[in-house]
Amino acid sequence: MRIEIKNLCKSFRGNAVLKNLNLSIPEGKISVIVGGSGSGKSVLLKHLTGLIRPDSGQIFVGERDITHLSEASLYPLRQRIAMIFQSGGLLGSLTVGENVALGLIEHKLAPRDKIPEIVKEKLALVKLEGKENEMPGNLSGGMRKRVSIARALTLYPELILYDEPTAGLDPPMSETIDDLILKLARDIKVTTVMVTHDLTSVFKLADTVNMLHEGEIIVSSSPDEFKNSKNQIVQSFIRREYHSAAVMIL
Amino acid sequence: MLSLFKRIEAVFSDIFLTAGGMVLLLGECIIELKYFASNARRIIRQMMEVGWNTLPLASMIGLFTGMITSLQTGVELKNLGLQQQVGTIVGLSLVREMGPVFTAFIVAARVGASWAAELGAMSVSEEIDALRSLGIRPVRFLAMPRFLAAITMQPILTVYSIVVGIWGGALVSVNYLGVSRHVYYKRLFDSLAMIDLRLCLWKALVFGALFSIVSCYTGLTTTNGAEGVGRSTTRAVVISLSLVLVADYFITRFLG
Repeated sequence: MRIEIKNLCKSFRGNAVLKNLNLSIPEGKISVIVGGSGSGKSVLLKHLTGLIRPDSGQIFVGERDITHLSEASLYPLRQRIAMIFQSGGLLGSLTVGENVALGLIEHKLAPRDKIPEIVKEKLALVKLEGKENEMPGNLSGGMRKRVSIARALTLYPELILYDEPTAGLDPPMSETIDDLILKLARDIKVTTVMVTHDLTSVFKLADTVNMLHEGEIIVSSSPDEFKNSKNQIVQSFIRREYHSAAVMIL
Repeated sequence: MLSLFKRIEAVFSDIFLTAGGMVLLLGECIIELKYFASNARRIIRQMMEVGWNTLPLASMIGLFTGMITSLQTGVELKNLGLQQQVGTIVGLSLVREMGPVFTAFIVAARVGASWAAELGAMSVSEEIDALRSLGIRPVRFLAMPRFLAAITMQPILTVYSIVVGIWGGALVSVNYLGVSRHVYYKRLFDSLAMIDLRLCLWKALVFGALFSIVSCYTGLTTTNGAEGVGRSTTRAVVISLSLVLVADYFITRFLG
C-alpha cells in the first residue's frame, strides 16, 4: 500500500504545524520520519488514518484519496491500516487477550471458538505467550507496545504506522521492538511508516529516512545518504545538537 | 472592550458547539441502537452500573425523601386536622417531581460523573483513537451501550425510588402522625391519575437520555490530560443537573 501526500497543511489555533508537506511512502518498505519533539511527526502519522483532518492538501492511501472521506467511509479503510500508538493504546478495562481479540470480535473476522487460538498465536509472535489474562496496567511499556502490535496483526494490515515505538524503553527492549518491526516488514511485506527520533532504530530499520523540519520534509533519502547529508539541520540532528522550533520556544 | 467582546463570543461559540455536538451524538446513538444485539454484553454491564449498583443510594434517597415529605407536610396538616391527606401530598410530590428529579440527580452525579471520567481518561490516553484506528466506532462501542442502559434503567430506578419513598412516607404517617395505613394508601392511590405516572416515566426517560449524552460527550471530547479529565467530570455533572431541571420544567409545562 503506497502513500502519497501532496501540499499538506495543518494548523492548531493559528500555529502552523505542517506547511505544504509533500511525501511519498513506497509500498512494502520501511519509511522512517524523523524530527525533533513537537515537530509534527505524530500529527502527520495521524493524518494517514484520518484521525486528524488536514486544513488543505491531499492524502492518497493506496489509490484512494482519503482527504475528504467521511468518518464512516474511513472505518473500512482503517481495518487495513494498523496504528501502534506511543502509549500502546490498549483498553485498560480489557485483559491482554480481550485487547488482542477486539478487532476480530468487532469485525466478526473469525468464529468465536477460533479466537483464543488466534490470540495465542499473535501473542506468541510478539513473545508474550501466556499473558492473555493479564491487565494492561500490569505490563511494562515494552510489553504494552508488543500487545498493541499483536492486536494490529489480527487484522492482517497492509500498512503499519508506528508512533515512537521505542520511546521510553531501555536499550534491550528497544532492540526487541526493532527486531519485531523488521521481522514483520520483511516476513509479511507490510508497508511500514515509523515516526521516531531514535537514531539507532533509524539506521537499523529504515529503507528511506524523511526529515521533518518546521512543517516540511527537508530530506528524503536512504539511511547512508542521510548519514552523509551535507544539510546542516540533518547533521545537527545526527550529532544530537538539533533543536526544533517547539523546543526553542520552551 | 474588544477582549471582553471576544470572550463573550468565545463563550457563546463554546455553548453552541457543545450543544451541537451533543445533539449529533444523540442522533448517532439512536442510529447505532440497531446494533444493540452485538453489543449486548456491554449494554448489560452498563445497565448493572445504572440500575443495580445505584440501588442502595436510590433506596436511601427515596426512603428519606418520602419520610421528610411526610413529616414536613404531615405536621402542618395535623395542625389543621387534615393529616389524613398526607398520602395525597406524598404520592403526588414523589410521582410528579421528586422521584424523577432526585433519581436523575443521584444517577447523573454517580454514574454520569464516572462515565465522563472513564471516557475522558480513555480520550487522553489515546484509547479512543486506538479504537478508531482499529475501525471500531467509539459511539457504537462506548456511547450507545451507555445511552441505552440509561434510558431503560432510569425509569425502572425512578419507579423503585418512588415506591421506597411512598413506603418511607407511610412509616412516618402511621407511626408519628397517627394516620392509618389504609387511609394513607387509599388517599395516595385515589389522588394519582394515569397521566401522573406517564409524566413520571417520560421525565425519567428524558433525564436518562440527557445525563448519558452529556456524560459521554464531555468524556469523548476531553483533552489536556488529567486536568482535562477532572474538568470534564465536573462539567458533565453541572450540565446534566442543569439540563434535568430545565427539561423538568418544559415537560411539566407541555405534557403535564
